[in-house]
Amino acid sequence: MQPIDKPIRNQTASALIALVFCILSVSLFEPLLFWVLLISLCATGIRLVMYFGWYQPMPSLRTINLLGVLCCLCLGWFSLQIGLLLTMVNLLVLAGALKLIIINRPRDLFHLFCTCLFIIGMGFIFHQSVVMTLFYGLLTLSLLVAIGRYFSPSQHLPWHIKRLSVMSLQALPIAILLFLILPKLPPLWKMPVSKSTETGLSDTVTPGDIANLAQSSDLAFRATFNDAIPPAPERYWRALTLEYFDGRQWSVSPLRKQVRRQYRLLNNEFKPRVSGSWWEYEVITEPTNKHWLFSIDVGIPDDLNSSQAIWQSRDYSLLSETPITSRRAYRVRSYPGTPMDQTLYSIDSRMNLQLPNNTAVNPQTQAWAEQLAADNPTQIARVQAVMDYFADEGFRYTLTPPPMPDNPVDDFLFIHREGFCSHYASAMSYVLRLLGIPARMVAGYHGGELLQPKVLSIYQYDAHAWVEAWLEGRGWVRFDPSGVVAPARIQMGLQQAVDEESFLVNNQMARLQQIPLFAELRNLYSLMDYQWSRWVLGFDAERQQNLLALLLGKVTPRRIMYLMLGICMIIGLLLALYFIPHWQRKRPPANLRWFLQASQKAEQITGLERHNDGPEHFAERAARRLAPQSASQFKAICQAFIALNYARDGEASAQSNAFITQCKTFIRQAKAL
Amino acid sequence: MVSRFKRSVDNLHNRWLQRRIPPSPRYQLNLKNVFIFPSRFGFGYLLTCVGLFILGTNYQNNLMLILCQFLLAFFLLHLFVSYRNFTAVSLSLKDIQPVYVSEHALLCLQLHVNKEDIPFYGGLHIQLRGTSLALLHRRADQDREVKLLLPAARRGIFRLPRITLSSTYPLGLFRCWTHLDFNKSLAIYPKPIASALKLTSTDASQGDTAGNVAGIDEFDSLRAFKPGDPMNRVAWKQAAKGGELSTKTFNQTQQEGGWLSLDTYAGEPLEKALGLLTYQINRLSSRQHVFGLNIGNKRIEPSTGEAHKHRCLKSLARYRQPEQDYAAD
Repeated sequence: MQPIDKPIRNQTASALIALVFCILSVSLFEPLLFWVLLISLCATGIRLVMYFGWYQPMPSLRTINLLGVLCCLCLGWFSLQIGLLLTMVNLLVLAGALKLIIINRPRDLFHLFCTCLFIIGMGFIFHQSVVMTLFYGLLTLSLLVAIGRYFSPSQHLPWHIKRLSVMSLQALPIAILLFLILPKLPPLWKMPVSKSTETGLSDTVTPGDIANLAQSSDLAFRATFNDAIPPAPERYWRALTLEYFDGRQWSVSPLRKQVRRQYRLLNNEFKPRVSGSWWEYEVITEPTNKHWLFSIDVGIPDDLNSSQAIWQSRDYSLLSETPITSRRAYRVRSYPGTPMDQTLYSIDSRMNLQLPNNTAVNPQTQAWAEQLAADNPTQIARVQAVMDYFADEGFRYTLTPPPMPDNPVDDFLFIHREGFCSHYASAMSYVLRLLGIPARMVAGYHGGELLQPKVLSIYQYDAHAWVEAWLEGRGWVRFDPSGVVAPARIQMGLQQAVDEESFLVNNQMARLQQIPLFAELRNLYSLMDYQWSRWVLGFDAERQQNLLALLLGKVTPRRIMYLMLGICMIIGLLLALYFIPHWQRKRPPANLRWFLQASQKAEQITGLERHNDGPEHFAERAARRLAPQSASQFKAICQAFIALNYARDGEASAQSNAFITQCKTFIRQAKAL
Repeated sequence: MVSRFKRSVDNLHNRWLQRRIPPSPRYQLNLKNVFIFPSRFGFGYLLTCVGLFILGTNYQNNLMLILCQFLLAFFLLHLFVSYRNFTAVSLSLKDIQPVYVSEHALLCLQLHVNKEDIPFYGGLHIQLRGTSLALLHRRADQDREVKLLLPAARRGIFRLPRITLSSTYPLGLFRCWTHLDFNKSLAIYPKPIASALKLTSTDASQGDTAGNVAGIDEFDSLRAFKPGDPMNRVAWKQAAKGGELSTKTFNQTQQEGGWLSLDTYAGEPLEKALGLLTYQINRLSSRQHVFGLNIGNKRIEPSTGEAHKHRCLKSLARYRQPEQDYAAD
């Protein structure tokens, strides 16, 4: 008498949610520990086996609890290596996997549903591209379908998919309105960041490192200019200055960090006096998990929001207050004409005359520097002499220089004479220091590819290193030895500067780029990605303010209140549109629709017009002009239609499917005489 | 103290319901009689949204915020979808067939969809208000019928309490419910206890002592079948052997004016006596015997037929048992 429902573990909902969970954990392949991924795959397997009924007994709660304790212990151990954020993600997936095994009550299903939603949210920390967003959107929809399936099991799956898609589409405009209007809060508290492997610059550079970066065609950042964009040779994107040299490796000077810390304590931010013309632009960086930001020459934050989030350091670089864990937009104004002589010479020179403690390394270079110093009395002459040496002594610009482990600068300058930008910059800075000129290596990017007339995309292979030297009376002056050796690098970009063979050798994607169609698709995709990061990912409090100002003219509390009321009304109207039946177009029953389509087809083929003919009458007329087989089909359809419309309710629904197939066949096959 | 307070709140609630949803044999669900509120799952879902919002704000991650706001918008839509779905039906209750103690009465609620373009989907949860009798029928949209078995523990005529119906379609975030009073009652007859028939030959009110009425069941003779003879008197055995249809006749002497009386069983406990009477009423009715019933100071004049039987059984059920609300215990 009472309907006995199968236990929840045998229901489609549980299998569906298992699949969604499985796909979700696979999509988080990178942040997940391998064994956690394995457990979630196993859990999915177990769930599916139970669903198909191959093996019914469920592991007891005690088993799962024990397993849970074991897993937590393991995770605790691993958490020391992977950091808090990844531990959180792993823990969440682990909890979901264990729950998945023991779904038995509706409540378990709901818990898993909420966990999955949260994991999707976590997924957005790691993936933010358009494609991944769509993918996660689909997963969210599948989750809704799984739950919907539990609540109305008598409907078919396609019905659920359709119904919930419609609901989601209806919810989307409301969500977008909320997104645009709800205030964007600053972070409430500091969250752990991931320590995942990143591509990009690092704060220690061994000559040759940047050559590895050149193998990567990942996006580094994009810049959108307000007016003109700087000419190609001027696009020196500074990121960080490397002022400490140990004979092999350049790194950020500990002294610089200390000085920076002191200034921060005093809240004494560097405010360079700027002069001359400027470029205004917005940078959208890809996540680097580092603090440094990119700007051309002397850049200063352009608006309040950016300046709050950015610390201007006394080495003319910009530092973000928080590490860049996801795409971030900031506005900068760059003044290429500003002399970089506004910092204290005493501090800068102390850092930038530093020499490696171990004087046994690179002896030849030291000797050569002594020689140079004797030959050239002035600073300018000394610098020029070094540049000339690079220009005249047959140096070669290559991505694959031979390894130079022992005396890197000696080997580079006097034996191999081939290297990448960091080799040149490293050698030159070192020699200048030996000559008594404060010099440092600057790491950043050079160049950029035009995405749109005013938009530059800068890829990892644009990474570059150059030299800044302090000249008396002029302050820091930029020298780029790579430009002397391979002018094409500066004029046109890396791709043209090195032979095609060595450029992006390991990158299959880049090879495909040679195919025009693919290049076009890639371009289209990056354009879409650009707009996506600009308008969706980069929609911050600043842009929201702009939008409000655009809507309201002046942003006053009263107007904001009106706007909120307006938004509520719009949402109300949308709901009315969705739910007041009057708005809904009445769909004629399926039989009638298909019959009308079939008779339209007949009209089209025969050239007759049906006017208000009854079905039978029209069938008679049409049959004369139809091919025999089609004619008999059409007659059958007309008769069936009449029969259906005058049949009793119960019979009609049974025959109606057959009728529709009949109509479809006719529409497909109908032929005239 | 607490229970008294609870009872008075319940009373207030009941009175309010009585005004808000007055008894009716058929209900169209609408704004007036439907309540809607987020379910526990709905609150869990909101909590997830809050979590996503905090996470999205702390990571300044717009996609997380959009996900959160999408879920909130979906929640809002869910409210309307749930409500519209629930109000698509009108409900009626089939008459409840009387049962005997320790059997189960069947409560059968029927769903009628008003318009074809706004159908009803999903399951229905049905509960007798104030009792633990509840059932979730997950395919109510398919069956258009929800059934609930009511255990019959005690005899009596019981008012059916309000029926609480709830639906959580489409995703269980909101629960729509209503408390309906179909103004029906449930008759539970005493459990029959088999015994020999004891009919008093004359009206018990004249003070005659009850005696064994011999031969009421005793087979007398066969006579030829006449149209109009009751079917259960036909001698089917003879007919099956190929003989003509014939009717069994019984000793008819006691047939007219037989009386059943509670006083006959004055020595027995009341419930047992009622059970014995129930058995006899059933027995006599199945034989189409004419009989009357004397119970307490209530007299039911001799008659026969189904209606008479139920009238007698109801008076047994009601005997010294005030009408009250049905409670499953």
